[in-house]
Amino acid sequence: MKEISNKAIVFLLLFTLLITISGTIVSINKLLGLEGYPSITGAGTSNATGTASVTISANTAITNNVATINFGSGYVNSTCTQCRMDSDVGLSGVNCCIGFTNITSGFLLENTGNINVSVNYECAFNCTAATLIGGTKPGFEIKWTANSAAAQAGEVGSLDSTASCEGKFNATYENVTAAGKFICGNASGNYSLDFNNALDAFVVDINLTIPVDAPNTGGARSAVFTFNATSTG
Amino acid sequence: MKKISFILVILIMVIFLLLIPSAPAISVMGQQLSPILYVAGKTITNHYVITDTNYPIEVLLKGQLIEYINISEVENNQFDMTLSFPEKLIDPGIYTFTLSINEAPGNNGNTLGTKLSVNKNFQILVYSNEKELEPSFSATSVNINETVQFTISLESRGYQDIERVNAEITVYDTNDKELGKIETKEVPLPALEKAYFRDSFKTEGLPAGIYHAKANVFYDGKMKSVNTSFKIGAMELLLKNYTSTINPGFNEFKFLVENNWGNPLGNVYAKLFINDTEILQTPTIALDAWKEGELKGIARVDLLPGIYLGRVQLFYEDQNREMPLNFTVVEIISPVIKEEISNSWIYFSLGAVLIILLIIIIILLTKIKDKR
Repeated sequence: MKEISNKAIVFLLLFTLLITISGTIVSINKLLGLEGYPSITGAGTSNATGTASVTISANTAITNNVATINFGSGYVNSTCTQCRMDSDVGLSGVNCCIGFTNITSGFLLENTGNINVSVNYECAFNCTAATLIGGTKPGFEIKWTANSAAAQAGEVGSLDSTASCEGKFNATYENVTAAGKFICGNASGNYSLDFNNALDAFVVDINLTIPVDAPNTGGARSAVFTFNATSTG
Repeated sequence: MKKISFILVILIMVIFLLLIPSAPAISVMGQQLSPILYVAGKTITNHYVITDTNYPIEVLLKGQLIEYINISEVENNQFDMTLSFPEKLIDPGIYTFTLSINEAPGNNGNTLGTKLSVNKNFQILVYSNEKELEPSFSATSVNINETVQFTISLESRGYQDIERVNAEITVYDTNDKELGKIETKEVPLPALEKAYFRDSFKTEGLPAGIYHAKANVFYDGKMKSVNTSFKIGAMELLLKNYTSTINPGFNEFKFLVENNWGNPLGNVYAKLFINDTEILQTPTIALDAWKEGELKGIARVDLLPGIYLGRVQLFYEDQNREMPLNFTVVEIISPVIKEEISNSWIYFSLGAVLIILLIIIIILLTKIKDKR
């Protein structure tokens, strides 16, 4: 094996240094742009008096940091009975799933407002395994996990350190339904997805099981999930 | 040429990173209204701003009483919600409705796509058409011989004016013995309004302790009762809890104490004696009025397992009080052995790691020598 030259090492070091400096500059600029990190100004002097009033608005907000799960197109190897695609762990039995995209990230939902919310899901279009996939024993399942446990990158705020939704999750897969259900909190005023950055996110994973005899319709079949974030008004 | 290609690749990567689209999101911002009190003929308007979404949106209302709610045209992702209650009274109760802001991207062609929606749930409180009153009662804790202040808060929860409200306060000691009565004045209370009765009670001659009081509130032929309690404090430090079970050897002793005085207490510390030998004096702390605090310290106990009589001397300001305490000395062997075993494992592992490191260094030095 050819040894790495000193020049190459120096070049790599310089490149690393460049990235570090660029990153620092970008970070400092972003920090200065935030409230609480104002630009340095001279001390102001004034004797005028006035009345200050402030109204804090309630911001109900939700961000989906992974908007789509697109397994792409492919087929099941004829030597297998099925191909299982799980957005949590990726393709199960790579030899059985031919051509499909290996997805390892679920929908990452985050409360980006300033008020606690509850979250439920609904599904439109092909919301059963039979209509989305077809064939013998297809599967179209959903589960949800705290991001403090899933540790999926991409939260707008920092990665959660505490389980959101009071730690109440469904970590085993269940069938998707069109009516959906509450994932976090409930309809009776339990708004348990906190707005605190340390516990404001969770991951919704999807599992598709495609049997070898799934019909080929010649086009992509899809389902659209609606995630509803609800707060007190 | 190679250099140019390399720079080009880096540039493309930087541009790609800069152009990564922001994550789909939706938010709606507006002043919090809920719970909304129903007042016949009243109009309430609230402004909302929708942000973060790049999709067309639809604003929907669903739930109860939405026939009295109007949503304005959405312009620049902003709209008003106006509640116009009719001039009539409706059945009392809690009504709910939801304001929904939904993205409408449709099916975007992906296998599994998503839409987002934000909702705000509102409650409309419709009070009774009768005369209704919600009273609450509080009292201040005081020091010996000081005067207790009673406050009765009155909130009309009906749409009819109350012509006359008055209350009678009865004060009891710890044994439910009646100590005195206070009659408040009589006032009118308009519908949905609030009022207060404030009265005082002299505690001269009453010893320190916990007392309670009951207020009967009379309004236009009806009556409701509310209760409260208060302390009459003396300058003393109470022992609420202490470490009673200890092991031979070093122990942490904790004494939970409470300031039974309506003023701060300074210079608070404790001395612990077992078998008439002082074994511990805790650091000094200060306690705010009526507050609890913890006095703690570590002391060595050279006693065999058994029950021992001790005493604690509590110091506060320039006073002190003493009380007897029982201590149980319990010998626990297994954790000590366990700790010793685990400690020996740590030393063994550290030693092994050091030896391995030493061997690696020697091998490296030998190699360098050979090379030369």
